[in-house]
Amino acid sequence: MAWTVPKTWVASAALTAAELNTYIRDNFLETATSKATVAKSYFIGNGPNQVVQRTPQWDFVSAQEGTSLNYYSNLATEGPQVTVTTGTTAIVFLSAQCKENSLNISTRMSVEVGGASQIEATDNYALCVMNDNTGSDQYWTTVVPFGGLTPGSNIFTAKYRGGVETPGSAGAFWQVRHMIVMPF
Amino acid sequence: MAWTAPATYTAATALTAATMNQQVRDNFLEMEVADATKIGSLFISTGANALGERVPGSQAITSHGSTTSTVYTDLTTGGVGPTVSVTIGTAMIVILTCQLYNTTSSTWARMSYTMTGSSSFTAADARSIGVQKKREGALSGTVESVDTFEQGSLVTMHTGLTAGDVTVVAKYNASSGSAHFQVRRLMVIPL
Repeated sequence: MAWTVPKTWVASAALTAAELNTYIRDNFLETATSKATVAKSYFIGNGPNQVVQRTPQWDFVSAQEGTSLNYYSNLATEGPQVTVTTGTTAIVFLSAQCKENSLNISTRMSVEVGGASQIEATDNYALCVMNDNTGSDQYWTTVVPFGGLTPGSNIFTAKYRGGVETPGSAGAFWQVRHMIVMPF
Repeated sequence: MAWTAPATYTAATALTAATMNQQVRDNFLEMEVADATKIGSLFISTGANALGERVPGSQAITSHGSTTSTVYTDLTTGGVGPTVSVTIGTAMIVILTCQLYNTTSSTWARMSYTMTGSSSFTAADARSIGVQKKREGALSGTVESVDTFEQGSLVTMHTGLTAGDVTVVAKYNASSGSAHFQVRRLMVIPL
């Protein structure tokens, strides 16, 4: 069924079951209330007279873990990671407490998208923080509006790299790692 | 037409065309599904029993640009913007994300925004994302370029606006030295 422009009713005209089904039952079934199935969701326009339910997701990894690599990869604990049903756009929020053992080297936390879409993690989507005081943490957030997603089930996974390679031992560290994805 | 509180029907009362039009037709026309025209839009309450469709806007400019201006301005290189035009109610959320740095120690690179249209204001530090250059000069050992970008975001909200069409444009400054910017993103979520 689909939305039908509500009828203007006329006195003395017969009221039929077909009309009640088209103009009341089927139209109610297109409303947000009818489509609501999951708590904490919101409703997004999906074209003329269409709305869809979208549910934001959040994941969090508290452990401090590091990398010696200067290309994007997982830490010992993969994530945070969320699976979200999206349209073509989403807003991704990345937050983390970052630390780099060496002065004047950066830490970079980005996001990779799998599932319906295939998007590699790059610096363009990254939380990138330069260490200005050896051994001290910095807590930052970056917000990335993602366009060009393939509608459907998309898997967002945080990925990490150091500003330079530090062979033999990790130089860049992250903890209290948050990711929120708000689908549109 | 407008929303009418749903009637409580009673037995043996005639169901009239006027009742059907008010209770069924007109109330359906106040629902979000009747208002929906765009993909990716939001439905925002505009008061008691009233909704409006709002369409978020965003733009990203990846090219590198710079400025030495100490007042907020367009970049000397890399193109104007990003620029976003939306229809707002009385509030909006603005998200700035950018890679930025300054070439001179202890100086700032800042990205803010102006707005024109039904409401207006100018760029200001209070609604900017900025980094202060932390170091300069050659260093021993393995380091990144002195000109490595940092990337983060500002998320802020404006209320008490005048509903209508607005255009938001990113602006930039340097406290001194040369401020550099790339992968510049602006998103506006109208409420």
